[in-house]
Order: sequence, then structure tokens, then C-alpha cells
Amino acid sequence: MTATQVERPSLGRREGIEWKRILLTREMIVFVMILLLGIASTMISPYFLTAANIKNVVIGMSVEMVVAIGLTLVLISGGIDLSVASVVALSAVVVALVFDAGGSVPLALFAGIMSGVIVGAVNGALIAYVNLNPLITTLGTMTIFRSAVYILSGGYAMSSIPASFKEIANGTWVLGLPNLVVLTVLLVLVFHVLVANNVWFRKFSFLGGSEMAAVRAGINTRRLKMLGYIICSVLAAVAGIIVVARLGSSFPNTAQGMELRVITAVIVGGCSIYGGKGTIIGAALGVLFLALVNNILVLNSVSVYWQGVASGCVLILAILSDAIINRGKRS
Amino acid sequence: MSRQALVEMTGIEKRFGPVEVLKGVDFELYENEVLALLGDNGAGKSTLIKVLSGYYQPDAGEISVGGEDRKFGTPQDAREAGIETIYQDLALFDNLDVAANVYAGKEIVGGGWRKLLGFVDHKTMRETAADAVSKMAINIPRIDVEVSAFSGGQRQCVALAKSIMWGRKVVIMDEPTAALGVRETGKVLDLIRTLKSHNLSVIVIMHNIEHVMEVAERAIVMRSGTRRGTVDLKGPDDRESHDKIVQMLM
Repeated sequence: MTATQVERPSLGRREGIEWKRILLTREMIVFVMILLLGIASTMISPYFLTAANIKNVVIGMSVEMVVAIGLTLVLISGGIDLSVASVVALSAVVVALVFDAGGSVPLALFAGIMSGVIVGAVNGALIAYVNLNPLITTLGTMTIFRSAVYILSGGYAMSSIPASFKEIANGTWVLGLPNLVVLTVLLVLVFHVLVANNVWFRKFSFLGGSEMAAVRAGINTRRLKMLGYIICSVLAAVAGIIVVARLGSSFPNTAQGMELRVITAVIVGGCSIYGGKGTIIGAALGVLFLALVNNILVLNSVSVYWQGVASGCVLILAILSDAIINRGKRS
Repeated sequence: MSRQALVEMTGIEKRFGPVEVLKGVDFELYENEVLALLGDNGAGKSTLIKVLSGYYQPDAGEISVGGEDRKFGTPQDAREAGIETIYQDLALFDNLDVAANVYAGKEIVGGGWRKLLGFVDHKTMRETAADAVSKMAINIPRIDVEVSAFSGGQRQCVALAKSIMWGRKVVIMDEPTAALGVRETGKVLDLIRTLKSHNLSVIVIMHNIEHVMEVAERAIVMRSGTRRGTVDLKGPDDRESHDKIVQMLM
């Protein structure tokens, strides 16, 4: 290399499509894996490629996918939120309590969302303004919010949910697709496009890349962090609303252990636990992939106890593939 | 030769508790000049620079830029006055590409519907960023990869491209060659010359006198919070100036 200047007209312009780069993105790898798994599953089990089964898988993973969107945003910004599953349950119980007290559907929706705003603000304030470690903080709030669910519900399931509310999730207003699936897909697409293109949402990647550099670029990092946790909790609250609407009741152990399943899925989908890396589509594909793995195990009558083994292996294979792809690159 | 100074600091004092770090320092930087700031550890170079870049507020003394009196309350104030500081860690986003780095915090928003949604104009940002880095003395192999893949010199290049793009008048570089090998150091010195060719003035803090002789036109030497003197430099073989600097440092 010479230090003198040479004309490089191509710099900055995209020359054709670079297949190798596209094929080696995590999203593409997971997508191909999903296709391969789908083909294999179809051959193994006659029940896999049936409308009923696909519908089950897609509906079953919707809640986790909505949670994954918010969690991905927090992971991109360099944080982590272990309390998401507890927030799902909290919002579910708040919604049920509103109905128990004779509240209307809009009031229940509002209360559910507000529960997300409030707990997100608690997480965000502790992490962004008090400077506590996000892992420990949300580990704490995870148990607190879960306890709150048991305290509020008295440990009982609540099922006085009006039919009009259930319709929100189970209705088929668009193209005969269940509403919760439509909502999930919409949320995934909207957030993906925002994170990639919107000036404000892009700041989360800056924050996750280097907090110091973000400060120097004039970003109010504290407020951004706080808002990231609020968005994450609101999405978890939306997921809680979906759970109640879908099942027609609210259980205190809703979404138990979901935080780790979602974290596993979004890392499979290309998020980095160290921040700065990941896309919403990737995270959604990760959730879909793990849902399909579990589905094929169930269809083949493999005990559900093996699902953990499968997800764990997928996770380790995913980070292993990363290590192989990135071998030789500067770190 | 009395030129009008672009940046002038007079009688700058700064103390941290009982420690008097700057004891009334005068400093001047001329237009389109590469100035080296020299001195041992604890001489007050970094503090002086941090006063100029708005990180510290001086206890006494005045700062003027382009003949105008200025008070820098924050680094943003200094930046708005045209003074950019490149720190040793470069403040880059390793997870993002060149365009995102160069435009961080000043993204170009697209027109029409994209403006409505606050969407950035990726194409224009990529092309103008490519333009800016291609003016520099270091080859950037491609601009749509994460800057973590770049070498030390290339990373400096990305950091400096910002200052050219944003029309800064003064670039302060804090030990730009400290962590680099011989080859990379040569390239960074080339970068400094590129800045000069773009009509910027550069202040470099450096320890290595050989590097200073190669790239700077003038040196200000500091010692225990005071200014020992200034030396005009006439190129790498200027033994007389070299000896003068060494003498002042001792």
C-alpha cells in the first residue's frame, strides 16, 4: 500500500450484489436453516406441513417474538433486560384485574401498557441514572415483578375476560390470519425498519457500540438508555395483553422462564450480548427457528424435557459458527 | 513576523484543589499551522488542551478564536467554534461502518416521505463519507464495513475525516502515534499533512521529537505548568531547533 493518493471511484458505491457477504450474515444463515429444517421436518413428519400445525407454531411463538423485539433493542444498546418475562405476567395480571373490577376493554389495554411504562421506567432509571449494572438490576426487578404478580393475583388464575377482548388476539380481521400473528409481524417489520433507518432508533446502535463516543456525538445517552428499557417493557406488556386475550385467562406463572428462551433466540438470530450488534428481523428468525425445533421434537413424540437440550445446542452452534466465520478477522 | 493568531489563549490558570496545574500559560496557534505541544508528563499539556476543547473551564485567562473572545462551557461549545479534538481512543463506533461513524449525531435525513419518518439517506451519506476519506492520505479499503476491521492508521483517518467534513478550523490530536507501529506512524504523519493541505490548523501532542520534527512547523514546550518557549522548526534535519527543544525539555 502506498501513502499517496490513487483514484478510487468505486469507493462508496455498491458494485453489484455481493453474494458472499449477504449469505454469511446471520439472518441469512438462520433463514436457510429454517428452510432446511422445514424441508427435513416435512419429510420426517406428515403432520408438520399442515395448516393446523403451522398455525399452532406461529401463534405459539408470537408472544415470544414481541418480547424479542424489545429485548433486541436493549441488547443492541449494550444493555440486557432479564425482567421481560415477569413484565409479561405483570401486564397480564393487571389486565385481568381491571376486568375483575368491571373495567372496560380500552381501560384494560391502557392499564396493561401503563404497567409496562412504569416498570420500564424503574429499570431504566436504575440503570441509566443510578448507573447500576443492567444484568443485576433486571435480575432484581425480575423477581420483584414476579412476586408482584403473585401478590396481585393472590396466586390464582383469573378468567373473567370479556369475549370482545379475546377477539383482539383471536379474531381474523386481516386475510383470515389471527390478529396476534398480524400484529406480531407488523411490529417486527416496523421496528426492524426503524432501527435500520430512523435517526432516533439508530442511536441505540451508537450507544451499544461505544457509550463514550455516543456522548461525544452529542447523544443524551442516559435518556436514550432509559427510553430503551421503557420501550422494551412496553413491548413485554403488549405481549402480556396478547397472552390474556389469547387464552382468555391470566395465570400467575405466565411466561415463566421466557426471558432466557428469548435471550437464547435473539442471540441465535445474531444479537451480541456485548451490545451494538443485531437486527430485529434476525431476532425474529431466531425465535422462529427455535419454535420450529421444538415443534419437530413434539411432532416426533420426543419428550418435552429434550427441548432444553435442543435450544442449548442450537445456541452453542450459533456462537460457534460466529467464531468460525469471524476467524482471522481483526477483533 | 507578527501574524494574526487563529487561536489565542492568554494567562490561562487552572488548579485542581491545591495543585496548580497551569500557572498563567500563553498559547497561540496560527492559521494553517501544524503546532506541536511538547513537555514531560505533568507539564500541563493535556490540561491546556482540555481547556481549549471545552472539557475544563480555566480559573483565569482568556481564549479567543479568530479574534473573537470565547468561553467554552462544554466540548460542544468548542466544536461549534471550529475546534475538534481527536482523542487517543478516537471515539469511534467499532460496530458501525464509515458512513455511520462520520455522520454520527449529524445524519442526513432523506427527502420526501423519508423526512416524514426520520429516515436517513444511506446513499448520500455513504458517497460523501467515501469522498471525505478518499481525500486522506490513507487508503480505506472499503467504507461499508465495520471500522473494527480497520488498522490504527485507518481508524485515525476515519476520525479525522469527520473534522474535514464538518468544516473545523482546528484539529487537536492527543498523542496520535502513541499506540502505532513505524509504518502506521508514518501514515498518521501523512494524515496530519493532509489536514494542513485542507487549510486546517493542527495541534499535536507528541512525545517523540523525531516525529515532531518531521511534521510540525513550530513547537511550544511546556514545563511544570508554564510555557518554556516556542521554537520554529525547519524540517526533520533542523539540528539547531532539535537541540533547542531538548534543552527546554530538560
